Amino acid sequence: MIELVQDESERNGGAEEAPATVIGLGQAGIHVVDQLVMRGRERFEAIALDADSVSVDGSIAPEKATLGVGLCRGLGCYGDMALGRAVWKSEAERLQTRFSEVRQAVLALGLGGGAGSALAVETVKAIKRNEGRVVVVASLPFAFEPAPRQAAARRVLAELREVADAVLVFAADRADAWEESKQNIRKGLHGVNLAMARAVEASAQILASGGMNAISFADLRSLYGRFGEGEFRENCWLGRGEASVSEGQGLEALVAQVLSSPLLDGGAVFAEGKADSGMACLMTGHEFSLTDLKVLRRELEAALPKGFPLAFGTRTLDRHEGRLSLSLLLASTRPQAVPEVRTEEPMPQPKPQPILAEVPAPVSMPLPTKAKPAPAPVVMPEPVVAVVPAPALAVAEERNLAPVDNVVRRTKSPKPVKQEELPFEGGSRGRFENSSETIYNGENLDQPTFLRRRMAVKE
Amino acid sequence: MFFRNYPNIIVAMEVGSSKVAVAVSEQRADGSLVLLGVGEAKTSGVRKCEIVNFEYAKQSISHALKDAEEKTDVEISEVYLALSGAHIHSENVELTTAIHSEGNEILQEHLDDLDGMIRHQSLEPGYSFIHEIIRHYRLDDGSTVENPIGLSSRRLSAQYHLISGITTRLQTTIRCVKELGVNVKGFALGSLATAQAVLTEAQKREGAIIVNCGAGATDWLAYEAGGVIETGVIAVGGEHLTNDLALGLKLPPLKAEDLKLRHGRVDAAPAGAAETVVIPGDYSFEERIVPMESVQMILNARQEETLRIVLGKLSEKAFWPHFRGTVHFTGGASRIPGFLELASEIFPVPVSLSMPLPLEGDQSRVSRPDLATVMGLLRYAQIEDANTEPEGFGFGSLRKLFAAMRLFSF
Repeated sequence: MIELVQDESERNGGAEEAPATVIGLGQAGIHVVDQLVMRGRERFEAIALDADSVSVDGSIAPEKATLGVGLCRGLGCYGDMALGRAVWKSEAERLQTRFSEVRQAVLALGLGGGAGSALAVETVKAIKRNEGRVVVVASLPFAFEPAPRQAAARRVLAELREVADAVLVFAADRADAWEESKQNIRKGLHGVNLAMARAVEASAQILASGGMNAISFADLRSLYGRFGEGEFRENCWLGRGEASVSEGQGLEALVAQVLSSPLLDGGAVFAEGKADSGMACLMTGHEFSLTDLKVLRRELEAALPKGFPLAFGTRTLDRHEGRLSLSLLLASTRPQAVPEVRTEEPMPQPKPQPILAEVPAPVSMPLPTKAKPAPAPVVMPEPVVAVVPAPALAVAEERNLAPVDNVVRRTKSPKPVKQEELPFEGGSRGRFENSSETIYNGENLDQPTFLRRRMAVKE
Repeated sequence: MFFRNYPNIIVAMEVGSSKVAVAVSEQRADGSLVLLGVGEAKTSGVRKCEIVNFEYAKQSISHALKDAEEKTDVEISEVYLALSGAHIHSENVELTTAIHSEGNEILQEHLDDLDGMIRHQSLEPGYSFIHEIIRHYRLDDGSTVENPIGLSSRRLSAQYHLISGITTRLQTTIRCVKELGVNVKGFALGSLATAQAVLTEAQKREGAIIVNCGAGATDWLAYEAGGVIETGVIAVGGEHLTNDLALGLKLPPLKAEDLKLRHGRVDAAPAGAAETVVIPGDYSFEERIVPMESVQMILNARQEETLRIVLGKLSEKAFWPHFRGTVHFTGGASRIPGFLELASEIFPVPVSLSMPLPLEGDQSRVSRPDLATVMGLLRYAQIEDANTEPEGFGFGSLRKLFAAMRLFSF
């Protein structure tokens, strides 16, 4: 259940009025921040930080910096956490001065890398030292990534859960959920980045001055701030929909759009051991009435499992006149019943095990309600990613397997998932947001040419 | 307000993405056109040459009409309207009819037959004709003529260039004007109107392409042997340059527009030019310094892309390999420094920046390329009035004769 937690910092009048700061750390974090800036709708500060100058130069965040040039020469940390920490040390004074002004922050990063992971913990600590609030949105490494990287990601995630107020974790393997990822995995990765950007946006809206009616930072923290040290799995799933009131798009269609998000895996996300709570964030113009809100809430609750705890927040803004945007953030608040894994040593080679009833299915799998073997005694499987298929599976099931020995085994391609609509939005069109798109040769010409050509702009 | 009584007033209106322009002229007895004045108002509610907010657009039109009336002392009761938009579609069609008259003489009724047949051409559902422009006639010996009346042939073919658009969008623009109590006497495609302002008859006969770079859209029209062979439009214009600057440099739209107008260029800055630009601050915006290189890069990328799209679309057409004329650029967006140099790099044919041809009367507007469409529409309206079968005698009979002879054409 969602519980309201008295938040000490809410008594600090100054903290509530500051705008939220979104900080992208490392390459993955910068991609997420760029998505937000491109959409350009909400007013918040955006900062991009990395040790890789190519990543920073290509970013469109208004504030960005290449860190540790003296150490890394602008070439990045190459996944070396120790080097990442050294970069922080060399830039500590500058960054702490900058972060001293930050009262509410949302950090975006990919776990397991160098700069992003190393900077994240220190960044959170720096902001918390000044009594700020921090929400972290992070992505787990892919299942096929090497064991040291998985271990590093696990360590960082554990540390972040100790220091940050809330940590939303996405699984990079969810990239398979997008149909386009079969031709090009980067399109699926883009979908994950977009989902993370929306989670960052929703968190920033909740944190920002004015916030959301009926949802506060305490709700966010109670959903995503519960995990202990040993939990290394995704805990956040996001569905998103947009509708135009002027075009008569109904609330039912909006809810259907939200629930058809690839990340929600056709409803599999509500299975035992996965999402057990959620919050819905609605952005709308002033024309949206209380009656409409009640109808929307009823539609949404009807589509969710019975008794599913759902907090509903709304925010009305002039620039959302004629539009409705609904983000559904789902959370897993109950810990998994698995023993901890020691993170200092490389992962032991697990023995082949029968299927665990609690094993989360890969995103491309049919719903886990289909026939499975009875639960076997719980033995620690290959735990490092959210998608953890056991090596010995029921014969009838075909899935992409996470390698137990880091060897990729090719299996038959997963059964295609019926997808109603792809809630996939490109970059901002600026002043052309409310006009019909100009598409030429598959490109949206309303988006800036320099962005589509990925040309770096010096500011 | 008391208005002067001008008996032969022609008023042209263009509802663009950046401004509404209303040009008022008088047609004298000798057939010359005298420009009395041009009223303008900034546009709201129009994006990419299409109305997205009816009430705002109506207000803009109302302001422009008032401005024109004040400047010219003319009460405006009817206008010719320029139409544009990305929904505009065109194609070339050839129709043939048999001549069964005595001596196989081609009569007016045969031309009317062809006109009747073309109006029965099927269009996509929801589309309406804007123009059925005759390019030329062809006799059964294969020769092409401009006016076949009186000639002999067993068959007569006519090549038409058909221009159509989505009915509801066209009606929206027309209704926006009519609701202000002003009658829409006629309408014309924006690029066709622009061509009348910029191209001479000789240029049309030799072959020429006019490209109007507007704020909301870039449209073009090609002539071959004096007839219109191709029209097109892409909904990318000067506003996209501004939008790119705003998003790339994180500027408010008005600051971006100001930056573009004052310092924008689409080629590399000349030697000795400033490397940075100061964007002045105000109560809501802190002064910023941006590198000129970034401004140029953003604008160059967009303008180059737009020109290449235009070139790509022209290259797909059958006439392009034989085209040896000049591509004339006009419109406000073509005036950005470096535009001509960039266009000459991209187009494999001669290019030029063109101004509207002189009109008698108020000369201050003639040198403004962003008014080319509305000035051209005045000429179009004059031709259209002459081609329309009038009632009555006297000068009207003369016009009727001209209309029958199809002496005037576009």
